[in-house]
Amino acid sequence: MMRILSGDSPKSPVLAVLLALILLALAFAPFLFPGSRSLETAARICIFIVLVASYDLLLGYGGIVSFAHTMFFGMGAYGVAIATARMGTGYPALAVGALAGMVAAGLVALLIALLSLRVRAIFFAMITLAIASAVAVLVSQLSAITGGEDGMNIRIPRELTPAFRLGEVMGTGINGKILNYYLVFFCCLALFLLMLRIVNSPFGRVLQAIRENAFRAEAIGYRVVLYRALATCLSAMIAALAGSLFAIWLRYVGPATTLGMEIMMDILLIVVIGGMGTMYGAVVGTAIFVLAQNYLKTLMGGMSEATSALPLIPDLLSPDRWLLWLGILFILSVYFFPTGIVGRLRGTR
Amino acid sequence: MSDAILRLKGVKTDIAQYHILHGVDLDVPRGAVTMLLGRNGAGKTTTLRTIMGLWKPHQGEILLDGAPINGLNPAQIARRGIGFVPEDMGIFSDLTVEENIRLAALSGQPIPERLDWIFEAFPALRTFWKSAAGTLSGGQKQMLSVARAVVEDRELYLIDEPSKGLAPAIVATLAKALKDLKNRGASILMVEQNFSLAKALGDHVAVMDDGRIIWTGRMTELASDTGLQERLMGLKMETA
Repeated sequence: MMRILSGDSPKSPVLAVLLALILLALAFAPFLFPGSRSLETAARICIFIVLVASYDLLLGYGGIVSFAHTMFFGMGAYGVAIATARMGTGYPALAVGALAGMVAAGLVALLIALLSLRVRAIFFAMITLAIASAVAVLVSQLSAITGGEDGMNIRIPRELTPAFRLGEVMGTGINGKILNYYLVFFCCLALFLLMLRIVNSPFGRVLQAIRENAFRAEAIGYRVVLYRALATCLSAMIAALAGSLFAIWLRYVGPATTLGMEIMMDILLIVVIGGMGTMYGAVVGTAIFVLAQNYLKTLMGGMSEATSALPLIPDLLSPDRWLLWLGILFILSVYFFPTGIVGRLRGTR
Repeated sequence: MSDAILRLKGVKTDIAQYHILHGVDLDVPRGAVTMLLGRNGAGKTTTLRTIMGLWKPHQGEILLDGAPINGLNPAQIARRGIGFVPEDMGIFSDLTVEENIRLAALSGQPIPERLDWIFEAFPALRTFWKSAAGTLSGGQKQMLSVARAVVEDRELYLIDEPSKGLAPAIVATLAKALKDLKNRGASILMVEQNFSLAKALGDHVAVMDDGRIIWTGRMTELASDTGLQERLMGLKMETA
């Protein structure tokens, strides 16, 4: 087990139980929580775990603040969309699209890193923000290739669509949508374990050292720019793969679903809530955040109804105010868990 | 000094608009300990940081084994064989003691014999091997800082005030370890304010003032001449 986790144990019984519960819930989601909405939520959690963990590799381990992460996510998604539009429905098109998106993200990340990682952190963050905004505008303008603001529908192999039926297991009908979910689940699991391996390798240790004291790491003999550039590329390539999976799952790609600044803000919030530089923070943070995003409104509706006899409370719990409560939850989590939920559970400073 | 491992020729360094080094000329002999002494603000730390490439000299030349190293970045200089123990220790708090030391072994794996020597010199590091370095005491952090520099053989060690702010017992442990390193034939350039420690370890001395080397000689010569100490460094209480 420790080998699978690259020697990085949860270091807290509560965290270990929490992670096991999330893993089991995601692994058996189609059977435990039947229905398309819960499956959508589970798939979103899987993909966002990878996306957030790849950002944690950059921010939490490398100490690099970037606002271009959704751009790389979008590159992977658009890679699949464009490849299927050009090559037709089929697994080769999906593979070529994902690969092309990943390579493009890696190259763009390398270019950004080499041109701007030498400058101060704040300038690097501003440069990534500018490039990400420019790419989002470009994608909206190049409608002949990207579908513009309308986005693109993606045709995936029939075996991955709800139309494909395979039989029944434990009273649940197995269709292509569930197969698609498991494609997403296992790919995300593999990518997460790969990232866990990366951050626990000597390369990951050097990244942590650079985050803490870049001058000292350089004086020991490590080329800081090189390591930061490599971290930026790895992070971008994994984000692109997450984007490809997202596109395959949604069978649609558009600027709002992959390139939006709201997604970037969500990633930042999840990293902070979960705990930076922990990897497991991405798992816990994403699960809580996506569940809150999807079910807080419903939960508040129920609570508002249940307290309808009381004064003021039903108004406060009105489903329309779900964003206010999400904001309050975020503030409380930062106040009580300044090192994130995982940081707190592990008892780190 | 004919066999100098490090040679500085007219090195001038500015930090922002301030001129800190005004033309440092210094030879560091091979296989000996050279103490760099001087009042606060004389430019000792800046000299070490300039050698290490952390500050870029705007004039002058720095030669390591005859080859120029000014203009190289700190990583390249470190890989040429210079181990650096900075004044602020510069340990990586979130990493364990083990990870700090393994990271410093550029070959990827510390030599077991060298690790044994480190554990013998600094037993606390063995005790806290798996602990986060940030949880160590100030003295233990300094031990880790020195251990990290000596985990592999280096051509030259630059050590900046290792005894600063430490309890006498810890200073004695550090002094013993550094003496051991010296006996192994290491070349060391060390900045030290504690003159007793400097006397105990140093073979040669260079005294700095106002960004220049104002006196060089053997430590025995300086240690035996209280008048010279007073004139060079304002030391009045020292005896040989």
